Amino acid sequence: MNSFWGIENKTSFDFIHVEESMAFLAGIANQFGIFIENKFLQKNTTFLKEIHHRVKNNLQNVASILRLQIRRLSGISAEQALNDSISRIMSIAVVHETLYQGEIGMVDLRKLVGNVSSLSLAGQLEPNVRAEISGPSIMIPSQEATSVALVMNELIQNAVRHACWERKEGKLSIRIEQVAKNVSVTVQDEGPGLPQGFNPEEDCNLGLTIVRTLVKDDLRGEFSLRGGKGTTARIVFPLPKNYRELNL
Amino acid sequence: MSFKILIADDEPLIRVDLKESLEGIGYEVVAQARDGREAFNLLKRSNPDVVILDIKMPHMSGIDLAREIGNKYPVILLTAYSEKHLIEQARDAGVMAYLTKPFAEKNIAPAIELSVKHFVERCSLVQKVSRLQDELETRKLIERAKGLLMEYEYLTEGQAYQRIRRMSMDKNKPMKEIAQAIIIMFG
Repeated sequence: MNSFWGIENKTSFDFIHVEESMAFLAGIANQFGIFIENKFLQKNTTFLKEIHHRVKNNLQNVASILRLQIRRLSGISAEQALNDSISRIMSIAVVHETLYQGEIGMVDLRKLVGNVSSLSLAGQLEPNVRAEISGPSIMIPSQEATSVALVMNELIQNAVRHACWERKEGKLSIRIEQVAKNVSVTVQDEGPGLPQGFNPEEDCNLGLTIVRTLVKDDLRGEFSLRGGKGTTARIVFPLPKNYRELNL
Repeated sequence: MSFKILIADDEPLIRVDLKESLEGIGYEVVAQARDGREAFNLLKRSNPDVVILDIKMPHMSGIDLAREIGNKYPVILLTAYSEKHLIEQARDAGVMAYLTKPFAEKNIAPAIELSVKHFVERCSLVQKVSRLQDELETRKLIERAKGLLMEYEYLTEGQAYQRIRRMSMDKNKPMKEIAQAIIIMFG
């Protein structure tokens, strides 16, 4: 009996004890749950704030692109000005799309050039321009990618406009190279070359202004435009040190 | 009025647009910087009347730079951020105006004109306060020195003042320095 009562008492005692422990652990679990939820909310709030700033900054970029165009409306139709503005905005969107796909902090230049050229050539029925892209995949910082995308958009748009002078078909050659510390992208068309007396440094159309500004000020590189059999546009810019090692 | 302006923003297209907007209004953009540090280095060479800075920039933020230069140049912040704590930091750094992106061209000129006017007023008030503080300190020292002369040299207040004045003229030194010397000697 004693042992029976002993067992029963012990069981009863343990049962109460376990219940208390369970309640205690449930309390801790609840506290942890609340803590994790708070942290998650905090993180989400910070993330949302950052997104909010980026949206505002991008809206500023769009407003700036439109204002830059407004100041240069002479000699072009409203349709062309709007189409050019749309393609600039879309080329910024290409970078965001590339970033969104998981490449945090860096962008594959070749992929970016491919996406921008597809965008620029999409919906273009005539002339039928084909882009041939060659060269290695080179990772560049996402911050520079926006400038590269905008510059490539201008160079490709420009080449498409002049590549098939009075022809229905044409080809663009886009070559990506890495030479030591620098990256170069060359866009070559099959058009009639540069018009006589044309000086790319003095021309003030918005496309070339964007190219010159972004290559010189943002990419800290150089831009050249050469005539001859077709036009060859080339940008060369240095890779940041840590990206040089990454691309070796 | 045509002011010389330095602008700093890490977004090149926004910078070009801002430059053209400012030049369209009639201001002269004397320097453009990609970040706070570059702006700091360009200040001496370009000697602007107004500095317009983005907040979030590499190397040095607009608020950090404003802390460094806020008492020498009128600083206007132009930023996508509008959080309370940043506005408070800007206020404490001596920033004269705070504009948010996306900005409207029509808001820039009033911000520049008012910033320059308020900055000039503030500088003049700071100088005035400093001069008055100096005068007050001089007066206190002379009073103390007069008291010591009256106590140790048995002079009247008028005589003590005349003594300090004469010594100042004879030695070609300000009365403040003479008073300090008397305080050291007798104090």
